[in-house]
Amino acid sequence: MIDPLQASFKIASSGLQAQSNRLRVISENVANAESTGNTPGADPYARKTITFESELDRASGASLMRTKSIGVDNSPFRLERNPGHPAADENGYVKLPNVDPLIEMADMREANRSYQANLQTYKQSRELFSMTIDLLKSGA
Amino acid sequence: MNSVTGFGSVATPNALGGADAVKQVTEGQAGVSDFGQLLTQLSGEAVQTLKSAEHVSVAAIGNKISAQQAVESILAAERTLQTTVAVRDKLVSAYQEISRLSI
Repeated sequence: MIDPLQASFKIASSGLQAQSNRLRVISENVANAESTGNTPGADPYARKTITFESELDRASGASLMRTKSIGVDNSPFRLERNPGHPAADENGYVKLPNVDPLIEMADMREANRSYQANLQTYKQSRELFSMTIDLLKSGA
Repeated sequence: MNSVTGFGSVATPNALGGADAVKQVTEGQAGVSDFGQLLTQLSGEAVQTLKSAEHVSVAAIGNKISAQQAVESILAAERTLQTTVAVRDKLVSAYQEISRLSI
């Protein structure tokens, strides 16, 4: 089936899928913004990153989008002095996750907008499709 | 095969249940020579879309797949149903047109 409208449904839904994955990673980061280790000097939660790639759908020849990988951000952890914490090292410093809420919020907004854009494509294709089908009905 | 009856036998009685409709279609898929076969093939695909939507809705109730996938599949089924009904209505009206011909 190489109906371009059908293909655009498929493409939009692959975008929706990818953006949902992105939002999942962001919510993990936000939720774990304060997750530390349990033993002295242990590493805390490391921020996760997500990358995307385009994938050729052989049936329709369309370029779909998919999640390439979910990786780990290797930037240094924040240090906070808190000697009573179980994860505090010999100097009393606790490693906190390298999650910056501001970046996560900006990323979330982007994911949100992208999801909406894909949804709009889907909506539009759907409208065009049903308008075309309605041509059959009108005359009768 | 008569165009209208060929379409009707696949589309109407077994739309959501029977497996024989799909089998009948795969047999006719080898070469689309006449209009009746084309319709039979189209409606067979429609039946499959509806069936998969049904499976997906059940999976969605069990929280096995994402809401987005469920919505997508159900909308695909809706589109297919609308197309099928539109084509059927057109065929029926064509059939009636023939029966009304003055002799």
